[in-house]
Amino acid sequence: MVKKILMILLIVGLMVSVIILNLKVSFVSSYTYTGHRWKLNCTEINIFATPFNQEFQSAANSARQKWNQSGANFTFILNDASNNYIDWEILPSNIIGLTQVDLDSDGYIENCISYLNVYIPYSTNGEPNCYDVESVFLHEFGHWLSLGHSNIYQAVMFRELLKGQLKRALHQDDINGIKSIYGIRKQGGEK
Amino acid sequence: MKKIIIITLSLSLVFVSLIFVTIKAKRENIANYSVVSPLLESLSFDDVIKSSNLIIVGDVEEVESYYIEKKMLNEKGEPVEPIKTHKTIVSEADVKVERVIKGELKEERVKVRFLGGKVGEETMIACDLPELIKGERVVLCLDNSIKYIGEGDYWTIFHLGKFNIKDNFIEENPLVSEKNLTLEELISRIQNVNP
Repeated sequence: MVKKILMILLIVGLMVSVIILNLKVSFVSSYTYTGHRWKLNCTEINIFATPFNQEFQSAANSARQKWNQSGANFTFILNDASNNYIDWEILPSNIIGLTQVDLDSDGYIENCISYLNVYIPYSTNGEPNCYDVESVFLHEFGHWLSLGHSNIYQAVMFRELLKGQLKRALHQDDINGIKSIYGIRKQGGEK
Repeated sequence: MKKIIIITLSLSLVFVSLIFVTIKAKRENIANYSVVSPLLESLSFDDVIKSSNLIIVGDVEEVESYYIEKKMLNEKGEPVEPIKTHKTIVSEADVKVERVIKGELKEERVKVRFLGGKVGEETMIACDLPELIKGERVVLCLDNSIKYIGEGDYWTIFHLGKFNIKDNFIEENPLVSEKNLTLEELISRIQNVNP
């Protein structure tokens, strides 16, 4: 009788574990996974497609490098011919940045475009009445990497940003999120 | 004991098969699918009320989705050469106005456009942005100052300014912390911000 009960408990435990792994539910973090990732652990990014000034391109490149250095097994590779690019867009005054992620027929990410708003004041030096462009790109590139919005205010992937607010460093919640999707890079450093 | 092992193995096999079928079904559902996610300015309830030029109570009667083409722009909002376009899905809702809380409106209906929708087999989801569904009764904070979803005469929902009404109560919205807020209480709060 005891053996039977133990066996049933073992089966139930196994089934619950499989369900949790399948859903990729995290009970300790706040990051969210959109459920759609890149097929490979790298993608190309084009920060030169639109006429952004040199400072904005540097900010975008810095944001790219920070995700590359997060310790996750994923790499953004610069390529000025890639269809994954950053652009300007006419957006309502309350939208600071917007990312569109397109999926292929297998559900993998195929293409990404991030937009800055032509009506929003941005800066690269933390001006109090402007939005910090590197913080915006860091957030938008998180969407490229399959992260949704986090409920942790300090996280880069929090859904809102204030004027003058600097979020140029990944929060542990962002790092946990990206590592949970792409795994941990075995040999550190940017590729 | 052998029976238990056989039953256990059979159950596990069925269970694992079910998981694979579910995953496959999920994959099939997400084919031809796009997601847009915004980074929003941090705005309070009062900010949203003050910034909206029209606030109404109404019923969503029809919703239609279609493609628009967006051109690559420079920082002034002008198309860059050579012109490069990107397709996106938008929706337009026909909303019958029951009451105007802020602003002026002569028409009985308004057209409200928003990002996302479904055209044929293609779906675009706008995360954390309001969408309208046929049959909903809503309070909408609207704006028509920026035409960001194509040409034409239409309104857009400002920020997270959509409040669903169910049995005369307001459903959960990030802009209001109170639970069980009635429609009249919400209207009163709006009028207090914008007397």
